Amino acid sequence: MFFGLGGVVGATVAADLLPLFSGAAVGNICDISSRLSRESIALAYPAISVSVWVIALAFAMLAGGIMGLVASYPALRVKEEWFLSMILLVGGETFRIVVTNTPEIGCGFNGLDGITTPFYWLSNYLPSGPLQAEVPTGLYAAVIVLLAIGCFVFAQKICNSPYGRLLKSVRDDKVAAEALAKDVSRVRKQIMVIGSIMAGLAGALYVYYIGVATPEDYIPALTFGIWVMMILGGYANNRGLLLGAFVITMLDRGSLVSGIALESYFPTLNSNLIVYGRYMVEAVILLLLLVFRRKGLLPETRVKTKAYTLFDFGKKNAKPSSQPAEVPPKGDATTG
Amino acid sequence: MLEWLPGSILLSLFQGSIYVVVSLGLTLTLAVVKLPNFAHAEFLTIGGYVGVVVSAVYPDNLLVIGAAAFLVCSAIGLAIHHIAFKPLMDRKVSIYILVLASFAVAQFIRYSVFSWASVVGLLSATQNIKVYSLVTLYNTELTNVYALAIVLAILMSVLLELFLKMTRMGKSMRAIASNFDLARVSGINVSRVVDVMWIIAAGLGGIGGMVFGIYTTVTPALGFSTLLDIFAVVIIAGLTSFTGTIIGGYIVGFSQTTVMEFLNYYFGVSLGYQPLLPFALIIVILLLKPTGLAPSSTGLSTIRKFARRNSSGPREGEPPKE
Repeated sequence: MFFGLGGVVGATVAADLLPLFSGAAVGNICDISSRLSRESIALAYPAISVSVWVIALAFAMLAGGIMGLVASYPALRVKEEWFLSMILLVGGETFRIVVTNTPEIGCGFNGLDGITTPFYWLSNYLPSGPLQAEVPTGLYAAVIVLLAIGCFVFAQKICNSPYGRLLKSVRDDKVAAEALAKDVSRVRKQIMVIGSIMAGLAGALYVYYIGVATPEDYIPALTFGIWVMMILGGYANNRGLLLGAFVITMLDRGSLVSGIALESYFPTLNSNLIVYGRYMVEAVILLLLLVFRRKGLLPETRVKTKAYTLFDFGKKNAKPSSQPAEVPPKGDATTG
Repeated sequence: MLEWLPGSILLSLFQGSIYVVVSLGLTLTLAVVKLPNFAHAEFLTIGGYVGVVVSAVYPDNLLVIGAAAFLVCSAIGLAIHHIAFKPLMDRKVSIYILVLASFAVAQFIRYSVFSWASVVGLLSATQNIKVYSLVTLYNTELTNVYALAIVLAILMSVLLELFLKMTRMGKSMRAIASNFDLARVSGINVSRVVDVMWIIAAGLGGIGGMVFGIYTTVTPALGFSTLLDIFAVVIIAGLTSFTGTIIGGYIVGFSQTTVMEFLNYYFGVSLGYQPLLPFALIIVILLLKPTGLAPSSTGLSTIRKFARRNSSGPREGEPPKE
């Protein structure tokens, strides 16, 4: 939901601002002609296209944060655990229906296209050939990787800090955290806002990469894939998430490539089957994980705050096991 | 000026009846095995497709088609219980894990149906059942589909009520619903009763889908598009009350059709926003009255049971709340 929101907001902002900055007339941003003019502006003015990209990202993050705050109001007040997933599912579907049926937001059902990467203008300076199209995209992909590393470092910093310990305590034992005078609902709200800001950023980056924003992209299967990534690597574990994301993305790309390969051998094969098969494999992976390995592939590690590394608990202990005996992880989390 | 009203009320009754039939199965699942089964709506899809396949062979033979839909869905319900949910329940996992698992099951069934339909070329199909008008009142045709759905809803509610109150199996089912351990200690064959529960719950979903498939085009996404409506019904019902489910089904049916057309007619609200009304109902009820609208002792006790189950002792594999 937040991912989709970031995408649509980013695209709309980009489409509105590009002509505005370059002085061209702002027409209807859903037209084919406006799409062409977006592309020509992106080709002609390097400074404008990069600055618009930055602004679009900022707006997407802002929108994600605001929506996270709004959604946290009902989501954190429900009584049962699974009502929360119910609320988020409802939120996602609401977003999709509203965007599909409101042409004012992201051009409704048809979506908004002609969003070129911020380095599209580079192709002016390159010799024509296969490189001309590949270099701007490759450069943009590198920027995305850098931003992803940034987000990862940020998440690691959060987790390995006293605040990360607080998060763990809120998750493991709400009552104990409340008894220690921690404002549980405030912490949960904060973390939801941080999460949705990241999702908004990712959505805008994604839209810039694929070039279109349509509400039909943000189907529940996408959220489901992200869940599988999370559980596969081990939730509550940023490194695990990296592993999970890597495996699922490999599955995704691998299924595309193998689909093309298979099609050349079996021309009668229905190409839809590859996509459907991928979703089915994801579902089976999740089920197997839930039954046999609920902690994921990588186990949750302890919180490494500054104090922890200062006293060097882990290294002095002669046993090389990942769980030193003196401080069990649970007590570690709740005593903060 | 109100010429849309009778037709719209009739359509609401029809949709409400479908929701009642399908949601009765979900309520049963929630009451007996305490599982919010997000895969329940997929039975609707399967029922619809069974209707398509069987009606090609036996056109207009509602009894055969209905029985086939019931049987196929029951078999699939039993299979997913034994393959996916039972191993998890035996490990006493948290309800959150069960919800995730039911999403996985739903996704697997949905895309299996997608694959099958794509190979056979039935990605959007209709059932070979003739729809004709029985009576015409106020320019509104009461077709056989509408009558069938309404009669079916009443019949199924009465049958289920009789089954739960009169038969030995139904009584054991209620015993399991109110206290699982006590029921087992007192000698009830729990796994057999749970199997019967899955047969009934999945079969009800299938029959509902079959009747719904006469009215609309059957697509593999048919179940998913009604998933949240069905959950709106059971949330209005307070999760485990059968009376509440019947009331909730018609509330959702009316909010989707009559209220929506009213809004469209007088305020010009686009009909595309139709699914938002049940969503609003879900959120409002979860926030204001999570025990549902129906005053029912079984509903309340199950909610308490949920709460106990969630707070008692450490369980492994509890995912973080987001």
